[in-house]
Amino acid sequence: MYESLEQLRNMIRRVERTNKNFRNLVGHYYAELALTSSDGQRTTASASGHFDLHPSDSFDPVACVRCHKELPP
Amino acid sequence: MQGKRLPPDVLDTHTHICDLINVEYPVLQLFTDGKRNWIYLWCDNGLGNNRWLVFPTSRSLMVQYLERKATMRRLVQESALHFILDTNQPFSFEFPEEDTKRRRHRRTVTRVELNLLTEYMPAEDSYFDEGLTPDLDLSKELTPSSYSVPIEGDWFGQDFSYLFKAYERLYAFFYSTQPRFVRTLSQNLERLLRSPWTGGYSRVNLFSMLPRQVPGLHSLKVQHIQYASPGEVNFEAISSVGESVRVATNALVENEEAVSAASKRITKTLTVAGLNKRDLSLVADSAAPLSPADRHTLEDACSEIARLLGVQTELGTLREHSPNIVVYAKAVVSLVRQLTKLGTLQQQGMLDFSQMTQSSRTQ
Repeated sequence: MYESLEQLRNMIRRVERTNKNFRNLVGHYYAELALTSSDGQRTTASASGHFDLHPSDSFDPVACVRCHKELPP
Repeated sequence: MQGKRLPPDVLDTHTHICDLINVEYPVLQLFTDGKRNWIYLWCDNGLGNNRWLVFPTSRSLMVQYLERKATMRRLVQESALHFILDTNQPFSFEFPEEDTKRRRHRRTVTRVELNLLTEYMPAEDSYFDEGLTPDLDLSKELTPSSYSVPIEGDWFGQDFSYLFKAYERLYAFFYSTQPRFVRTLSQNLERLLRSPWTGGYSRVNLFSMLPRQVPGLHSLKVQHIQYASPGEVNFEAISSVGESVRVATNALVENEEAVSAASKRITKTLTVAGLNKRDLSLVADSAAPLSPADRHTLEDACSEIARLLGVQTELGTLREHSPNIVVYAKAVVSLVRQLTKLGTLQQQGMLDFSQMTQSSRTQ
């Protein structure tokens, strides 16, 4: 998970410099989730904006989806 | 893909060293065959297979890549060999030996020409990106240098074989027990110390496997041998590791009786406890079948050996990654045996560890 779309795109672009077809592996779409504190606990984001979510039992990712779109190039 | 189909076991000698890119998946991995660096570059997937480009690269290019002076594209282009590996093996190759034994996964290996790789070729700016892997610490020594081990006396072919085997094992031990640019070394050490072993008092298997854990970038490369009594063997490797081998061998020679006595205390304790041939690789320290007195004897003897040889840091690492005191004590006995081999050559006047000459930056 990344804190912003721009951070996600940036990370994918950095990998694509070496692994041209990286999107075939991780997928061509992204989902934006609206998380609240009741959804679980998250780690602090790294310098690249990446963080892990340790979900609570009640976490419903589909219900959190704000948008689901194709990743921009 | 068009090319020459190779036997599927052609890559079986490769050992995973670390990931060079790992973002959710390890898509760029560094391997060694005990000598050379091999790159595994993930290319694409489909029909349940992953396709990898596998190729060797030289030390100097590998260093340039890690120092961001050469791109991955250049490493691909300058390699003389290119293999395409198609496999339904899960993403990680970290334990290839398990698959080699059981051959559970389908794989085909094809040698291909560079001009067929256009669709997988990394970009012009495919420089190493430290932020894409947790495995590397580039603040540590990266570039191998040259150093010499002086030799004298009468040397026969088998003496060189004896020297290189013992020296390579010790080099790998001292390499693996200090922090290096590859952070995954400690995981490999832990895995080796948990591999089954019923071979007796020492864990010689640890020492026979350790050289395969050293990155090809830093493996022990013989640059040249000059011999006219006296002469020298010139290595290209990490000279600080060579210095550790030298210092420990000298310490062994100086303290031979005390080290030998401590080592014998370990083997005697293991014999009396009936543990010399028991495999305790997966037994936790608290469950090791030892009396408190025996445990104390082993701890005490290992500490004494560490002090006498000046290898407290290295044995501290070994202890930390050993499953229990018995495995640790056996590894310490094995270290003493390996050092004794070099110490014997020194006492016979064939090696001269009182001096070791340094050092030039590799090209």
